[in-house]
Amino acid sequence: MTAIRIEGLHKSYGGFEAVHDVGFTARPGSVVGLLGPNGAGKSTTLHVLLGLAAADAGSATFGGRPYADLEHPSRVVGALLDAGGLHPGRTGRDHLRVLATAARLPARRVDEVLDLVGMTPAAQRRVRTYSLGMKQRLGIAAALLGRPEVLVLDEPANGLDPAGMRWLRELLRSFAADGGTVLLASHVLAEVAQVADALVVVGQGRVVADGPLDDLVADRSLEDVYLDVTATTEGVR
Amino acid sequence: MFRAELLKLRTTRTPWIIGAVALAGMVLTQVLHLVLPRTLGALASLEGPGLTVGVQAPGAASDLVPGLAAIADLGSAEAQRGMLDLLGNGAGGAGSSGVTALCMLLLGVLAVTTDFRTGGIVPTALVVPDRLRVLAGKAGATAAVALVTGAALALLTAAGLVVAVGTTPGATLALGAGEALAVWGRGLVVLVLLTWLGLAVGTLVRGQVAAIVVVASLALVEPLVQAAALVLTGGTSAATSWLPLTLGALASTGQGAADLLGGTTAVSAWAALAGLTAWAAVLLGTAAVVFRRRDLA
Repeated sequence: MTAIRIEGLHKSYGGFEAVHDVGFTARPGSVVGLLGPNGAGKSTTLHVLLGLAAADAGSATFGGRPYADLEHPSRVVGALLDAGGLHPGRTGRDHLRVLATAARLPARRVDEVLDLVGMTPAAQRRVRTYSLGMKQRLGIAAALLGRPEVLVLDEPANGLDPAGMRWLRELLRSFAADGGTVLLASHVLAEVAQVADALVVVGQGRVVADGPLDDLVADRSLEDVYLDVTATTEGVR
Repeated sequence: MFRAELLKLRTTRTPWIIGAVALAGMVLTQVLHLVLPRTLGALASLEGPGLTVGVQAPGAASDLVPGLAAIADLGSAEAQRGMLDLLGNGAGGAGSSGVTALCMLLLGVLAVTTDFRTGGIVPTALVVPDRLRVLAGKAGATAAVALVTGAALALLTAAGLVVAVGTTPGATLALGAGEALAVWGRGLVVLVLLTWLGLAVGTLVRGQVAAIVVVASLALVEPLVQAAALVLTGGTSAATSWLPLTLGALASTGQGAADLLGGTTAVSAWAALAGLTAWAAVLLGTAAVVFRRRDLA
């Protein structure tokens, strides 16, 4: 199975240093929660990891290879970023068909993932008619298209109802139990606390806490720990 | 990637609307081709002592501007070549409706800027991290749509020509099959090159509205530059013939427009096609370099 390894990552936009010397590892069979305040550098880290932005220094790899060097990226990594890049005028099924075609995946896989995320009844509707939760489910379906070994999800619980949250939690736990690697960026601490094995907390572009969830939290709540370690880095930069 | 990008275009309404507008523009152009000579004839018959209309009948048009007579005569090769023009530029390239050209430019622009606007470029780049493959897929898909649209436009022009010859007394087909096919062939290549110009502009500008403004401005400003150069140089400068949309018109139907306007440019259809290809290659190449280097998120 495939591990995520990030080492000494630096990324600046103009004079603004979004990520400074970030490094951590997410091992197969685990769910790693990536936490941090707004503007802390979580999304930038994920963008560099997924080859959408170039690092100024450092490395971000899947099984030792940068994302751009993966031969069949969809079969290794499934990712959900932001709202999933959905065209409002396209149907949910067509969105997945486009991605499956680009990834050279069999057409039947589209129906399989639609069924997996519970979106089959709405598959022929245009995306503009979807709720935020439905868009998230479709984005997760896209991430699962290639039966990946790694999931990288940015705020996947956004807009999900309680049943959807439970479904997502069970999906991630089962994915990790099968040996998959999950990197989960989220603001919903309670959700992360229920599903993560390990945490990476970033603040002002730096890693401010990193380790197994149980070791970091000990006998305190995750919220207390989070607010403690981000106390000096709170707020939008 | 080509199939995926083609599927993207097929599964949204915009490319269909663009195709429909291009076809509607061509229908209008063909109707004008058919109606204009008859209107000129009717105006000429009204002309008498004390009445002078601005445009003269085909028979007397040679006194106005050399070449106009041939263009207004639907039995002439010049007029028939203009009717087959896929760009719908009007008789001898002089009408400059430019609807088809604008539609192809917009098709290229929207094929890439829609991805930037909706964020669809992110899942695309996640599936295919090689940016050049993504751009090549878009170029192939827009070219395919341009070719299909062009084929439909060719059918319309053929129908228009048949009606023109059939309803004009004494008119016969003045063009051989080879020449008709050459006009269509060059027209199809021009349509593809225009979509690629739009694709390049969209990739470089990224913002959808800004990119549309750029290509619309190009379509509006270029004829003005042409006219200004004509007036200032007395038609002795060929420099403005090398602007992209002018090259498209020249490549499609040849010298008709320049001759009609009194220009002395000597750009052949094939040279114009080569010039437009160079524009597309340079702009698309630049766009590819920028697209490859730029962060997508």
